[in-house]
Amino acid sequence: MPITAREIEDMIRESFPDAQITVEGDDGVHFAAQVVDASFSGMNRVQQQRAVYAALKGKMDGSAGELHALALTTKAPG
Amino acid sequence: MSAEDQIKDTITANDVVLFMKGTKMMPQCGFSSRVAGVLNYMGVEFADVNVLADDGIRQGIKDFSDWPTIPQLYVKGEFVGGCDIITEMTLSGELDQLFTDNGVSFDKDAADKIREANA
Repeated sequence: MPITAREIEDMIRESFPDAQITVEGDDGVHFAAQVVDASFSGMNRVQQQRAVYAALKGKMDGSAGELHALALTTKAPG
Repeated sequence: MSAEDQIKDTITANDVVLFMKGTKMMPQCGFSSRVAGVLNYMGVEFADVNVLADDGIRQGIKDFSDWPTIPQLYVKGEFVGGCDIITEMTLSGELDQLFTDNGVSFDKDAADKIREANA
């Protein structure tokens, strides 16, 4: 079953309850997410995005992953 | 040789390596294409590794970097990021700085043109 933007947002929200999260995309395949969270301050982009990928629990993983195309932007607030 | 050893050898032997789907001449995924396109346009000499040609490398590179997606860019043996990070770094000029710091030659005018076109 194709994943929805809402499901992606919910999964990210579980790991980042206070983050400002925007997920766009409605074709079930291509999404763009922006996550702004205080926990990102002091982390470089690789560390920030690793944390978001971890929240998506393997959904991004290869051919078996349901989520092939997620453009990700992460930053700390301010 | 294990996938991990092959990966280590490749990123040690080449200053700039892009693990991608397809090749730099014929990318097979939009994200891989975008990063290869930036490097080609900037005239950066880089080694391309087609993960679609080797399942061991395809999984191995994800384990190696603890990063679930392809493409993955390495400079001087260090993982720099995937498509989104490279795009941001290109537009902010951080990629120029990274190449300069690591003695990787590139066409500054071309990099400026990318920024102008996306301003």
